Amino acid sequence: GVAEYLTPVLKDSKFKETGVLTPEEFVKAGDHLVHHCPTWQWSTGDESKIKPYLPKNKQFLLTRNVPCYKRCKQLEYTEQEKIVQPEDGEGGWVDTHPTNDNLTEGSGTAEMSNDEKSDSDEAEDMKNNLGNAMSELVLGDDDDDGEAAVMEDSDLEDEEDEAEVKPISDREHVALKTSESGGEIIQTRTYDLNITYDKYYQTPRLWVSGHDENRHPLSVDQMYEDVSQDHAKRTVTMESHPHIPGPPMASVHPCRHAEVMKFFIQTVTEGGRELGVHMYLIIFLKFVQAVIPTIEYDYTQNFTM
Amino acid sequence: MSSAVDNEKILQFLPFSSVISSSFWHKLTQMKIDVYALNDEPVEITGYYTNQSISSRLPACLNVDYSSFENRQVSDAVGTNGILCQGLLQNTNTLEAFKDINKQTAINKCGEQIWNDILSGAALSNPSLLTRFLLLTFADLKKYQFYYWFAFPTLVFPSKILLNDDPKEVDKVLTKEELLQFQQAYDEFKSSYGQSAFVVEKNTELGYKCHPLKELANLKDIMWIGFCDPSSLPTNPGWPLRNLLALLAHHHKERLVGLSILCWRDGVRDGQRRVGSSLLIEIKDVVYPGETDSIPKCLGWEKNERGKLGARTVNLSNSMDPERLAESAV
Repeated sequence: GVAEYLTPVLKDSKFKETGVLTPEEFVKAGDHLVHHCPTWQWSTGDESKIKPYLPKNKQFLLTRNVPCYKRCKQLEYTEQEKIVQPEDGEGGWVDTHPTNDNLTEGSGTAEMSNDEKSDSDEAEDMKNNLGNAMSELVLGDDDDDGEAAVMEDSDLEDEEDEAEVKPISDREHVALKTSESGGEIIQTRTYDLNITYDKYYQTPRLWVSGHDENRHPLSVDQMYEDVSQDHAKRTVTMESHPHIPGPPMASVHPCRHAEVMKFFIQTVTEGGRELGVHMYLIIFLKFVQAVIPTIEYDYTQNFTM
Repeated sequence: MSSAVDNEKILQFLPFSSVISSSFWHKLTQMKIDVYALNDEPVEITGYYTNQSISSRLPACLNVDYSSFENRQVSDAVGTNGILCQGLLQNTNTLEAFKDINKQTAINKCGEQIWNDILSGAALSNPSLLTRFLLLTFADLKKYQFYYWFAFPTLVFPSKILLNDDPKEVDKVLTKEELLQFQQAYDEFKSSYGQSAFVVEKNTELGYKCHPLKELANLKDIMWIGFCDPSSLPTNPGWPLRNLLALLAHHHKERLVGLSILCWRDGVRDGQRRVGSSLLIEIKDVVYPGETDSIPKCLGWEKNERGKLGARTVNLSNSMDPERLAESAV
């Protein structure tokens, strides 16, 4: 917008005093994130939208095809939930798992603890189930069967390709997953996440765009199902992405980011330690998890508050 | 499905699942208006897939987005674990033309290109030539309705591959120390060659070493042939292995029986690299098609939501129609 256009690029670090970032600090924190969590990568974005205050190949960060197995309402909020309260007492962030005092506790919720089994344990479970999964081909009952049928091609030889793994239906997967016995591909919602540098608010800004189980783009209302109730519509807005062409995209509004960040910095400082600016995005991703608790993006690293 | 006939373990591959970002359709609309106009000749685009570990249990996604229209040669654009691949986009002017395209002929043409790259040896030097895609589209710009159909062409050659045993996770076969040594050898290979398929050599002096495929003929202590695997199934490799095996079957037929394949899965979770769920597959026997003088049969049209061969549609009027956007902005 005009305000952003008129805002001068932040030159001197004010990170410690106010929780904001210079573009250089954003790049430094981004490099740190990409190094420790390589599912995140730098992107150039659309050539015509390159911002001169950031390196050409480091315009924004992205991670793709991030699974989102559950809707927010499926999460059981408990009395353990507490509010992370910035000093002025307004708003604040809901910390959905305050009992985890160590940020290495990965994927969000207690219900997902089966995800934290080692790969090899999972492999055992999976092996036991794959036989069943492979032997049946169950078709999903889509609403648009009629239209889909029209687009099917009778000219193609639809002979069995015996060397192709056949999927089973979405609903089967959900059942298997919840009974902790899933041993196959899960057709699930996925999200692409972007972190841009917001010149006006001088903070990172998170953008999300999702696909459903059939990999069709999610509508805004569908995406709200994956935003915590405390934040849907209040914190998440639709706006033009600064680097990607196309329709407006959902974004976590950055107006409170600096404040929350300052709160984190103070907490760490009071604990007698110092929070380096390179840690900014790791912490940022930790606190936006309160907004999108079921999107399982990667962000963790050994860091204790 | 009649699996396990006579207790044969037939090697089965997980097909790619296409994922199209909304930004792809936006850019296609722009290109159709500004560049292609009525030209419906196929144009080159790029897509990418990623290595992943089984903990994700996601489909083997092949992504296209707005940047697919840019001429990307380097894999910088796709991150550490991304693998860039070439595709052809054919955008028709009418829905009729979309339906009328002979799908078998279209995919055969891609198959022929892949087969020629195998015969010439070009695919030995550049294995990324083996993983291509074809994308048919029709954009109904008035209704913001898009019709599309992906194909991931694969040659049915050999016609059947039988396994000795179920695939094994690499961390059940190697010690932690060995796996770490291999990982270092792989990282070294990747940073110098950046290729998605490789030969793994192991001997007492050097330990593990990864080489480009084209050196296969000169190597002695071959342990595995490896490839970057987009599959997260604990029992099956992904689609790219199929054409890789066609390449090996043509150039190194004598090595195929008894060969071990490393399906390399290089995922990250909780900031930790996970490679232990990479699979090892041992080939027991190989069946070739009857006629050997023609081009192998080519398959690979993506199935729709109903599991049938058919196109898909997506309607973006909610996010692209200016009228609707204006309404929702109120």
